Amino acid sequence: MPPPSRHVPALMDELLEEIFLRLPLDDPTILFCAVVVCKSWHRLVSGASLRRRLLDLHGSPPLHGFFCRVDDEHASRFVPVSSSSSLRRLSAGDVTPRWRPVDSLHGRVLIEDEDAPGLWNMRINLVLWNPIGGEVRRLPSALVLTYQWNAALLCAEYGCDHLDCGYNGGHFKVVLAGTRPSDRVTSACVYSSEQRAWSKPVSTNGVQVKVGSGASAIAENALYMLCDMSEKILKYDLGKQQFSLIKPPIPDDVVWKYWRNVALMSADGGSIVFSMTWKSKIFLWSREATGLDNGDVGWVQQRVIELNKVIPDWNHWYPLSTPYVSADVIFIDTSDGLFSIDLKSGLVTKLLMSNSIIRNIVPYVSFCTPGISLVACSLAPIF
Amino acid sequence: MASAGSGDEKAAAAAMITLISSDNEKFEVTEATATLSQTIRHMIEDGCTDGGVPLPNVTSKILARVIEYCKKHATAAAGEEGSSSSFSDAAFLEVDRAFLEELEEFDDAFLEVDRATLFDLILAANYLDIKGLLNLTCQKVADSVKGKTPEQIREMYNIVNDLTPEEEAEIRRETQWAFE
Repeated sequence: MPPPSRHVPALMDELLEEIFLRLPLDDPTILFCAVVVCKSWHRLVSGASLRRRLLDLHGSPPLHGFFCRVDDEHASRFVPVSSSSSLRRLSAGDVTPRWRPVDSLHGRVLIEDEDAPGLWNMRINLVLWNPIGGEVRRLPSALVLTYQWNAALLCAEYGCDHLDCGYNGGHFKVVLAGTRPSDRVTSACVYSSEQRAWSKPVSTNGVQVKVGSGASAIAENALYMLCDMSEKILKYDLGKQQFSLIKPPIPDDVVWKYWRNVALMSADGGSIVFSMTWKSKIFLWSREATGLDNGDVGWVQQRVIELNKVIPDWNHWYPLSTPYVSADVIFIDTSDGLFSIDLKSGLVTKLLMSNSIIRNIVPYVSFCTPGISLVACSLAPIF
Repeated sequence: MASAGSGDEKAAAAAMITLISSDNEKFEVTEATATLSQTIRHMIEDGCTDGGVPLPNVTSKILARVIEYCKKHATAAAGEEGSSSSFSDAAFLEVDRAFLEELEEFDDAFLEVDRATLFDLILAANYLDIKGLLNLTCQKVADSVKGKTPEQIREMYNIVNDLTPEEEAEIRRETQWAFE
């Protein structure tokens, strides 16, 4: 006689977490199905404990792809690193018909709403958007009197453990820096989601540089930005609310000539990485964020990637734009398409076949764990 | 050295431990097999295994399966120790690979159980602290929910949906992209 079908025994929270930890990170739809199964699965899948264990197990969240603007499409879009990615249709189209990616952090993306009124009177309309959690938070318009600006998304608190930032309703900061064209004075102001307001602007005193549009980097409690037509890196200390200039790790004349081919990134462990393409090589330097701002001190060359060795059919006559660096991946834009190079495995992938210029690459790195609270689900825009 | 090693092995093989299931069935196993469980290893180290080790949380049916797993993997562990001490040539590596493949086949066949047994094995692996078995069984459950709808997952594991319709609608609204 066949045995009667038994009831499946219940598992303790820690054992259910053991199972959730082993779900594939490249397909977040599974976590989003698990969260609807029952109350205890919902609580565990969206809880901080699972996020902590994922972080302990994997070190850093996986890269799913990047948001970018493709010039001849006049639109922004998401390019997944895997063609089978369940995130391939991510779009801020429901938020605003015309948008541009600016920055991303812990699974949330800062976009510029180009459709909002104000663009032509020098108002910048930024929106914090969680592409998979659905959160949309509009920041108050910022009057900057310039088109030469850049913005960065930051954790609400300096030195936070990142377990609860990035999830729906979690607090954040945005630093907006812009250069007035008339006198090249750069100012920065900080938006705090807790105060729901922009701070008073702080200006550079006597420092004349133009804030560039390339990705900025965060280390310690400071934001590092590249400058257009300049060999210097602009540092804004959020604690002291002061600007200073940092010398990059290469001779001035080289950067001056190739400033379009440099990039900055935040690295694990509170340092920043400076990358530069020179002929067919990518050079990477890291900087110890010990508060040393005097010249070259702190820059250490990490590695040199010879592109003709990693990209088949590499032709050094291809124009090469700035490499975009994220976590352990570098994106490089060539006239033959956009490639990614995994710095750990050395794997090179052609992600996009496009002859047009790709701008505003914002990598999307996240564990994609749903951060939905059934208690506080206030998603109403601020305005 | 080789003779000393085999002498130790004989000594280990001679040391038998009695495990007693919740339904009072006794299982004689070698110490090498039993110590794959960190829980039992600690009991042996503390010298409290005389008269058998009672395992009130594990039934005889599940304990028999757990012992089957431990026996196979204890042999694998002994093989690995041997390889690191004296063998390094290609022929041995070839044998090693064949053994690992066999172990993988064993694991696959071992997991061909109903879902209630699978969960019982997870509970036993956790209680007995057998990391390899916990990893194997949890990975099996994780793999089984891939590509399944929430309804299918509930049905597979007899999970009662205790979310109110309003709560479920709220979560689904925010996770809508995943269900498109």
